Amino acid sequence: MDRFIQSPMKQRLISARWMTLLFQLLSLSLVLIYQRETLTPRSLGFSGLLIVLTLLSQFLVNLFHQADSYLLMIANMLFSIGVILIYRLSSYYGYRQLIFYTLGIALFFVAYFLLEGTAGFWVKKICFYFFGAAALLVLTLLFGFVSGGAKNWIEIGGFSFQPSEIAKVPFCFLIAGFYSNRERVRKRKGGKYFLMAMTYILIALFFLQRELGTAMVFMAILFSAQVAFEEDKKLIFLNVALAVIGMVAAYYLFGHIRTRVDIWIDPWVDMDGRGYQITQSLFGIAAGGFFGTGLGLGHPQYIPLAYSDFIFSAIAEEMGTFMGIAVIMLYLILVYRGMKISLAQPHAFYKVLALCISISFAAQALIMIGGVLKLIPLTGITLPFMAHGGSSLVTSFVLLGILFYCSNAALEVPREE
Amino acid sequence: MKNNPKRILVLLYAITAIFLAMCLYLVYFQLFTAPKIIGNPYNRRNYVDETLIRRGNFYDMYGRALTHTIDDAGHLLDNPRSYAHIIGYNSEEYGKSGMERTYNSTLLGLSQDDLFGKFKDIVQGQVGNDIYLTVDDDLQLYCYDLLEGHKGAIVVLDPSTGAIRAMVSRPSFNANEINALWEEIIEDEDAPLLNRASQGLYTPGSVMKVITAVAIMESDIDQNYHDTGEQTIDGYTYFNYLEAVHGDIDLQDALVHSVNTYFTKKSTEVGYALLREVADRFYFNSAIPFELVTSISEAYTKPDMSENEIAAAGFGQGDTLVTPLNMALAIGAIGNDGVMMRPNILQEIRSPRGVATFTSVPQMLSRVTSPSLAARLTVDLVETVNTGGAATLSGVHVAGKTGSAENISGYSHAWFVGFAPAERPELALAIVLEEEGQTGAAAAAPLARRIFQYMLSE
Repeated sequence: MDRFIQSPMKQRLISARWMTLLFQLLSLSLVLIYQRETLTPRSLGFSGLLIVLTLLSQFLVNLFHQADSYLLMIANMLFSIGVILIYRLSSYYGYRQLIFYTLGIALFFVAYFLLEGTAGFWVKKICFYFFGAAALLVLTLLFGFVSGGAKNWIEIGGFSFQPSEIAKVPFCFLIAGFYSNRERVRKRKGGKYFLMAMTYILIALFFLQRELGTAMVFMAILFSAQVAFEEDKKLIFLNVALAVIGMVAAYYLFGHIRTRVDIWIDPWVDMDGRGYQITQSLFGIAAGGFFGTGLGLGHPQYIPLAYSDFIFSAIAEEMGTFMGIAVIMLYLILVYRGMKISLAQPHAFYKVLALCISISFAAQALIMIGGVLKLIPLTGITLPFMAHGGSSLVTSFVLLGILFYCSNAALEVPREE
Repeated sequence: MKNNPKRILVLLYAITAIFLAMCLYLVYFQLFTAPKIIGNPYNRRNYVDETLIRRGNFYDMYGRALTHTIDDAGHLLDNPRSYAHIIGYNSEEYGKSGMERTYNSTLLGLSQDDLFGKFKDIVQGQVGNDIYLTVDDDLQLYCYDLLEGHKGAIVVLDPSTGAIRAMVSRPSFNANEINALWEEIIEDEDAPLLNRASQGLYTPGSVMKVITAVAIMESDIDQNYHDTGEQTIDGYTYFNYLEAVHGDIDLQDALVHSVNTYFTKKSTEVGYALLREVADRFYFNSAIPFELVTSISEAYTKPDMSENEIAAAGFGQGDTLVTPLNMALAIGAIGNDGVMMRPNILQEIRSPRGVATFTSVPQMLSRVTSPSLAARLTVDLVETVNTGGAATLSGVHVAGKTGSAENISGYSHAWFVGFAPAERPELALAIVLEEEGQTGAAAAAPLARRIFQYMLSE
């Protein structure tokens, strides 16, 4: 990498790292003041651990001179905002989230080194990815249990997790494999429809689980990948047409989808019942104003699932609309850098992969923030890096690790097979 | 694979646009949607907060206090009966009414976005915003006393700005004692909770002739008439008050003597379309934007009205129903060169630190007729008052019209609408005395005279 670019960039990185630290120190002291009556050594332990872990992860990431250190820095900032609010709502969920974060950071580096060691291995395993993703979803259907309206949880050895979150990883690989091996797949009969067919099967499985949000994320990834890489423009239009038909059909076929759309159109008629969540979310955001009520001074506990699905509303209430905008901008910068990596990456497989991962972050953020703002119907997915939830947080860090690898390779000499 | 950086860039631009749109929406939500939903009864934040927040107080246009804080949170009205329908009550059990209800979140300071105020709240406890009304406290109390012994309403406003100077409705109730008196109040057949000034719908009788006169002047029909004391339309015969006979008259004579036969005949000649159009311009048949609950006046609602129904509506009988607020605005518009202003009772919102965070700006509501026509009608209305005598003042020209509206009770409503000084009106008013059983000239006009005298004579 060019030395002339590197040194000022390095300086900016350092100041960015201090920004995260500054935010953590200020907001953690507010939380500690708020919890002053129930303060335990564990509270200080939480604060210390959060600061140490983020600093350590950023220090480690800076050792990779060739890769984009901003990625983890942005994720750390988003995570800090989220976890501090979660901790303020419930210290138990706060600790849990910090443990998931530790695991996530570890897997971030594992993903990086795994790809570095076996970069060529992953390129051609298209069917493996599809069956991997499908198996996760089928397993959930067979052995899963219902939580929060969707049957998307599975329990193994005392640990419960959401396979639909994890399925995002093989799905991104599937698209990358398809487009980087396009010529080979095309030779087969009907080969060019292969990706769409597989995606629709996965989306059908999501519908059976009532996982509407993740289905929308998958659709967004497929559509974006087509816009960026599809040679046959007819396929893009076909996909859009099918998606529209599918949405209309789903509206008439499934009662729970109709319900969601009805709530979205007018939640005010049933504020006690089905419209409760979204109206409480809007009250929360409205109560915060532009500057927020201040940490510990609002009532985000009135919003159902304020620590997970509705974390954005809780942040807007206590930290203000300006923080809400800051969060949206952080996601935008993350997505922007991801797509820049995709542009710079010469290796076809990792180019597509970087784009898919960026889109997955963008789609999740937009669908979830749009949902709690009542811009679009509400679906139960998670805000990447912010919402409470192990599967989601760990998966997001794995995807980020893969993106981190793509950024590293982007700066090296192309290594086409 | 298609490797075209342009396509990725297009995607990036699109996503950036969506993210930025989301930020803009958030700002929009905070500016426009949030103030509307924050006072919603399902927002539990309001309940916890109210007992902790020192509720803002009310002041009149000169800054005179109308309420006083009594304990940590609530306040009491200094004159709980005369302001029962403007400020209203605030009860945990029975909810809120009036401005207490409309501006609940302002009084609680919930919608304030004031960074320094927030710091102060945390240190000193939260304090709500104060509300300054356009009402003149002296006039309000004076008008309330004038209605002693009557049922009815008085609305006094500044026709050039729409600012309400007094708004009284009787019977009234003690807004401070709502919890103790609730059962008694809601069982009272005279409905003291009803704000007759803005919600009461009354048959207007002859005061409606002012609006009919506008339609007659705008039409191209012959404004002269030969009165024989009766007028038959479609087999139904109308007579004048006390069966008077006026001979050859024009529009001014018809207004001065309130000639029913004239208005029945001329209304049918003007026809439904123009009458309805003029009525709509005076904001009949549509909601008048106002801070307090307001009923919609009804006139010429059915397009298939018979000749007979049009004739009756032309002199304010039949199905016509109006609110005193609407009539005050209507007569004020004649005095204000044909421009009807939007009524407002909120003058200013002041933060706990005394900074005005909102100041109301006069807004035009409707152009009811041309300035020249309004001026001609004003001359006629001054002549009407001078001839009638009951509302005249020395040194000040009063323009106005009385009305005695027959209704199902058998006791007519006594009306007076007018403005003064006629040349450059400072006040417009509407007075209705419900089921008074006397004429407007006998019962309502003297009250108007006293109000004008109180306000305009040095």
